[in-house]
Amino acid sequence: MPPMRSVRLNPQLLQQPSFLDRCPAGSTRIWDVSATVLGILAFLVLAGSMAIWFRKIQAVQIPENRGAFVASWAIAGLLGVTALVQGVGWIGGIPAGIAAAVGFGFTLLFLISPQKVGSDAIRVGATLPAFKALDENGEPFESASIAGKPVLLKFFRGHW
Amino acid sequence: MRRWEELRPELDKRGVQIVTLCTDTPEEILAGHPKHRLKGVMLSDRDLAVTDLFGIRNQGVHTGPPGVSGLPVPTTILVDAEGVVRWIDQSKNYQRRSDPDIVLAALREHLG
Repeated sequence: MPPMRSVRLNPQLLQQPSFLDRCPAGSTRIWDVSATVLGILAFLVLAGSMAIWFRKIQAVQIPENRGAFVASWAIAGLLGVTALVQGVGWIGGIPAGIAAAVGFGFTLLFLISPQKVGSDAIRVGATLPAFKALDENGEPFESASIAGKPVLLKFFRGHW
Repeated sequence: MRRWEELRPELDKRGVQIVTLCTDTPEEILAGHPKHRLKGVMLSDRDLAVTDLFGIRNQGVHTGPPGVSGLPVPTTILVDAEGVVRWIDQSKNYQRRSDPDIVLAALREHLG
């Protein structure tokens, strides 16, 4: 094993003012500018992802694996929060705030959205149970009226 | 669902009826009807009686509209002429619906 070498810090270097300290008070510091860029970038990531997302919804083409969408929402949220934490003017702050709120909001929605049914759910091979309900005109409907024909039954979440 | 009408010739060829169920009231369904443009019966399952009969009430986090005690997990069920369930399409993701191509594949496989 080679002998350990001790590193001695140059005390003069430690005493040098950092770049940030050398900026005159009240001037725009370089990381303010980049936070603005970050905020706008966060918003652009979110907007791009959302545009594709809602187009897919319109076309009924949401992919089964939504990992890329969720990742882009989380990234937009993180970028937005980073920009806000760094301190940013309103030009970057507004898009950063929107990206943070909506990006994390949609990520949260995804995390709580998985659907599951109970163990008594209908299975392939079962006989269609008889049921009745009101139709769109408020008229009673009974499943017996469609007996003898193939049926596509669709349960969905409604208009809202 | 509005894309199912793309399958109209395939549905008619096999004599397949379409029945939809949701928790909307009949009035709400009728109001939304032009949007769906679907030829079929659209039933109101406000109290989730049919949903529970099929055992497909969502047991996950409930994010339903006010005035409704729950929601079905979006489910498509293909039943043959003998009344036997031949195919079930159910998604963990409520945004994902049964695409027409998935339904068509099921029609071809199970009804010929």
